[in-house]
Amino acid sequence: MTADALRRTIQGIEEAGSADRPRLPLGIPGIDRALPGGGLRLGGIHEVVGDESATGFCAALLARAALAAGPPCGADPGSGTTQGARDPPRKGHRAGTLLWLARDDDLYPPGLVRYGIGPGQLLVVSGLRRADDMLWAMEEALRCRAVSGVVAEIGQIGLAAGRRLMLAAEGTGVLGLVLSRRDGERRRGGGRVQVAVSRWRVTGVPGGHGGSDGPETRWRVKLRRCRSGRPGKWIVGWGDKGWKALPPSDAASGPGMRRAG
Amino acid sequence: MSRERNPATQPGAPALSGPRISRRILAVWLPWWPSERLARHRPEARSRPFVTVAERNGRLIVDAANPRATRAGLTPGMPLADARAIVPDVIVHPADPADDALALERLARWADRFTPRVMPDGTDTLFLDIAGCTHIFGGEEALTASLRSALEGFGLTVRLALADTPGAAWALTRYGAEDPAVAPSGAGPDELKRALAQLPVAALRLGSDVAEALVSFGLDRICTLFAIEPVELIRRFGMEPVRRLDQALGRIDEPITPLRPLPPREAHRAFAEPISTAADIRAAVDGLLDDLCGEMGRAGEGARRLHLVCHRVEGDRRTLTVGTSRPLRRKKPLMGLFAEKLDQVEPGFGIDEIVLAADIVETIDELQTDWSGETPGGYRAADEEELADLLDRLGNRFGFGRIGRPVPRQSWLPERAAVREGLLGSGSGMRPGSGPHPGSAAQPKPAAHHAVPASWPEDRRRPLRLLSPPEPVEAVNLEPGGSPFGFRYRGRFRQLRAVEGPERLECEWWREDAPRRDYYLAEDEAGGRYWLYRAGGRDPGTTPRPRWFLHGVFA
Repeated sequence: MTADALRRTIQGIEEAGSADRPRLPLGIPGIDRALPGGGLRLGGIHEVVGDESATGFCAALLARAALAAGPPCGADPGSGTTQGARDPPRKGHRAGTLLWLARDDDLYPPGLVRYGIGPGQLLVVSGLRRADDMLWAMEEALRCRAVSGVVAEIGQIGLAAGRRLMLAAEGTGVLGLVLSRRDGERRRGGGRVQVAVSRWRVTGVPGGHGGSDGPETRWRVKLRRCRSGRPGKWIVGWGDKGWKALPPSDAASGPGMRRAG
Repeated sequence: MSRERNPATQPGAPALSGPRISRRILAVWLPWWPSERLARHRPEARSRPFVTVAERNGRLIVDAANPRATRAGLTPGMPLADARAIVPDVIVHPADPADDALALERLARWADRFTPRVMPDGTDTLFLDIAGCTHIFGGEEALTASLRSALEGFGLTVRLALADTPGAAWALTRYGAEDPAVAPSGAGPDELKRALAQLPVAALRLGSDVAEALVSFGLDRICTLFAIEPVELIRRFGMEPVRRLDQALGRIDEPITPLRPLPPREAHRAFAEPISTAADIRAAVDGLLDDLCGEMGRAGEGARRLHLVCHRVEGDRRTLTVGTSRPLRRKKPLMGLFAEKLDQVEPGFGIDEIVLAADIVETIDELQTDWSGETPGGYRAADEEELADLLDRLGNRFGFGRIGRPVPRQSWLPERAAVREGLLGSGSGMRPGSGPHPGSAAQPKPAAHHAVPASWPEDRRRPLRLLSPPEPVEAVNLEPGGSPFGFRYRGRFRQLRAVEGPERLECEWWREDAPRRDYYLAEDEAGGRYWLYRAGGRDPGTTPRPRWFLHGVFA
């Protein structure tokens, strides 16, 4: 108890009054325990580095942010199902609009359904190749209360620009994700958003099961840095029922997927 | 009809063209237009005799002359050889009537700083309908003086006249005693008759043959026509004199057709002292938006597109255009849209007038909200507005074509299964080069296929990133037609540890050129997950060797 009280005090000092900010639980108890306040801080920017798995991780976080922000649209926030896809939003229904600021034009929306982003829920701005365009667009998005989450595909953000983004996000409570796409296995380091509240690395891990019941998609999720949080590593599996943490020994083992004939 | 309009039988007959809209026409006559406009770019031609020549019947004939050449006795219609005999060092330039007309049109566009209703007439005249615009410039006289000094600054000789009809103004520019000649405003046909009475009949814009015929009958002044029955005039001289007289007196209407369509809503600011600082321009735009938004508010309208036209002292203009995804009349977001672009205005030596015009306006459907500010759908109207404002800002900076909401499209082909729904109401293809929209859902399907789903499949995994176009890869498979064992991509061999598939996707039957594809979900040793497909190969009729492609990457 004393340690917890002390931790809360330190957190209060570190975050300068923002300790009572709304949090976005990931729904994975192990990871949520490592994050201060039991979840990702809304109204801040978070950095996600990695290969394509990082894209999936961002999509899953966005979907959770939309569920947390918008009026309930029938889906259970804990399960992370793809209710939005089965039940297309009514006209004008923006259960927390999501914005994807894409560098190229290769994001494939049908693939996002699996992570809980239904058709019509996402707005994509593509072809933002210049860093200043991207930063401007992200700041505008973070200042908009009608947006619940925004992903920007940008490699690095300087200190001054990052502060601007943080201020914009703190005013509105929008979840800002900076997705740094790089081949995680070849280039270590990476990720240069100094002001980010938390910094993650997400890479793919082999070892998916076949069939529809077991988890097929596996990520190694590494919390590299988090203000008043505890860095850590987890293996997360994504199945039809959402995501859950797997015991580390489970990774890279188990039978391969069904071989096709 | 003509008898009815005849002033001799019915003095002060009312106009037949319905209720009269008050007009005030400023006619601008440029007597030396072809030569003076060319001389703008040839300074030496201003102080020396200068003619333009055109070829007629194999001979070069003087087409237009400048004042100096005219004083020396060079007149249009004279052979160039004769002109050279009189003035050996005359400057000669080929005549270009088409270019003259274009230049006159440019001048008319320039003149729309005074009024939006400007029309070039003939080869050397502009008509400006300045009704309702004079107060901006401090009255009719001030406007006329400012137009004159600007035109004279261009090196043009002008004669101006003001009247309520284009015909009367035209006549007064040519034959009026003073310059500017001013016919009283709000004058009826009788007063106009007095103003025009002593002018020669040629002032009625008659063809030279008609004018000569009238003069040969002793009808040399306009007042002589008043005494003659129109029927008699028509019998002897055709319709033209009567029609022109009626036009000049305002008995029949002669519309001014503006060069550009009149924007539904417009606001002006003219500056006595040209402005050039960013803060001044901003303040001016701010004031203009106040005016325009107030006007649109009273009409229950909102703008979809706005042009901000800055007239520069140099005589040209800078135009900024912003569009919105829905009708808008709130000042703050509109100001925000312009603020992004104001640095594109290069003030140069200064801006002397700014016009803000909304050329596409629509009625605003006001959202009915309950006491808590929520719409019947359960969403806060303020949020809707804020989101739309954000999208407008993004759209105006990056182009509305780059923003969209991906929605499902009915197609089995993965690259065609998503379409981007534009913000401006029309959907554009998700990917360039993906071809036109295939028919609707009503298209007949082959028996083997069931209906193509309207939403994306949830039971089948689709990649997060789709390569466009698919990248050819070298795949190794143990048995022909079997699943792949590994593939080489970007110079590196990837050994596959698990493969799921195939999932056969065929394109619509009316696209016969594309072969069927067998898709495999493959995972390599490093944890990368790929969407590979084999095109053709299984059927003897199709390509002999199957080809493999990487189409997408999973998370």
